[in-house]
Amino acid sequence: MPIKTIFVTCGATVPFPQLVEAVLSPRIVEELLNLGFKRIIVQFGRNYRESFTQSINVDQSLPPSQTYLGFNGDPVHGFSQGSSGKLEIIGFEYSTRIQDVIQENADLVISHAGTGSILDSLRLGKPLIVCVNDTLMDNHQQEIADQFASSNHLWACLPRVDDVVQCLRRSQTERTEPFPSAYNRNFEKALEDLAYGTSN
Amino acid sequence: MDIGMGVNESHLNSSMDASAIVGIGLLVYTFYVFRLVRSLPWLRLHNASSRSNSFTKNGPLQIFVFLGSGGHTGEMLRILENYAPTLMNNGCTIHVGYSDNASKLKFESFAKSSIDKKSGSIHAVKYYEFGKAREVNASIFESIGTVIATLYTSLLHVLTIRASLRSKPHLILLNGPGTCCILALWFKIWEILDFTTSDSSNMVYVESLARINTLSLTGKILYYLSDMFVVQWPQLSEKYPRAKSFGVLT
Repeated sequence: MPIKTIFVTCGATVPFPQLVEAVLSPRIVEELLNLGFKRIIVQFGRNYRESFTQSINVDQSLPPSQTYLGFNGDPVHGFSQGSSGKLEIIGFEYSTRIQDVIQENADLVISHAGTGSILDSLRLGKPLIVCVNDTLMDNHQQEIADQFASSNHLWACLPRVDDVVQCLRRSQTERTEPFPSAYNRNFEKALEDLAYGTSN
Repeated sequence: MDIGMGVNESHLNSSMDASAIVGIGLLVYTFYVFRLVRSLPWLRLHNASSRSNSFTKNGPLQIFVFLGSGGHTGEMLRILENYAPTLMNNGCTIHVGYSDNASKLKFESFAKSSIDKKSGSIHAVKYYEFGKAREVNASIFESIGTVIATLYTSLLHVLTIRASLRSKPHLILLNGPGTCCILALWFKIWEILDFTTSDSSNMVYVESLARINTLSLTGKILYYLSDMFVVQWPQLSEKYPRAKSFGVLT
């Protein structure tokens, strides 16, 4: 029986402390345990290792090996104690194999609103909650999240505990629309026509 | 009297010389205006693909892709992966332009993991390093310097790449950022000036997935230079008539 796991990704470029703080807050830990999650994996981003390690109970008894779960990125292991049990916590800065981590472990993903991270989850068919980093100016995150949410491919929210709890509950009862394939015959044909000069 | 005749004759000769020069000048001018009209995609009366060659090109595809760093590189690799049977088929040559080493490394690992799985084989991968047109947060004066340096190195690369693409089926795939504009400009300038071939550049620009309601600055420039301009959200193709939307390609 696989361990029900939620994966949180903050993206490669800038850290997103509001999201990490929200998902590790006692209220969300409690909510996750209630929903049957036993493990949270957090990709917390650059220059955030120290803050992350301080905010969890580091557990030396868990396997510290790089290859546990099969990803690189020097993971930190720990747990958070809720009233109904323990939530296992694994954090790492960044991995070149994020898609593998999602594919092999995640039952649900919470992501920042970068297009790369959104595609990683949607292309793998994983249910996805997107948190918009509202401290970033002019990088289209809200626009992107709204666009995907309006066609019901994901649930979008701000990194506030209440909002995230609401999305977590929705993710357990609602279903999102499957994301269409990237393959489009008309685009392929347009490329062929241009390259080989075969139109008309 | 004689002197007067002499003056008149030489006057006549020089005016004949002048009209010959003007005539040749006009011919060359007409020739290049014709090439200009034919080469600039947004001046074409028909859509881009109607300017096909009278013959069908055979042989392995030559593609040039520019990996623009970070998210641009990520999207370009996704497109290559999703359209691998068309873009990376048997015996094709991939010319890879990049301006940061991380993108080159990403392409190398992508080539190892994705291409080997496919039945097709790639004949060769060639790398070309380009300078950045503009560093993020650079001042105007710093930008002018880097733009000039990039103009020069990219000119040399573009000439090499053009020679490889020449008379073979080929595509140029661009998706940003700013350095793409310089590349596209060189490709178009040489398409017009180089009278030894009538090859089109076959430039395809795919706007970033993050662009939903407005084009990026690179997109606004490439809208006029690319032979096929692709956006990933329908809102943009409604605003820009030349833009084609095939859904999310990345």
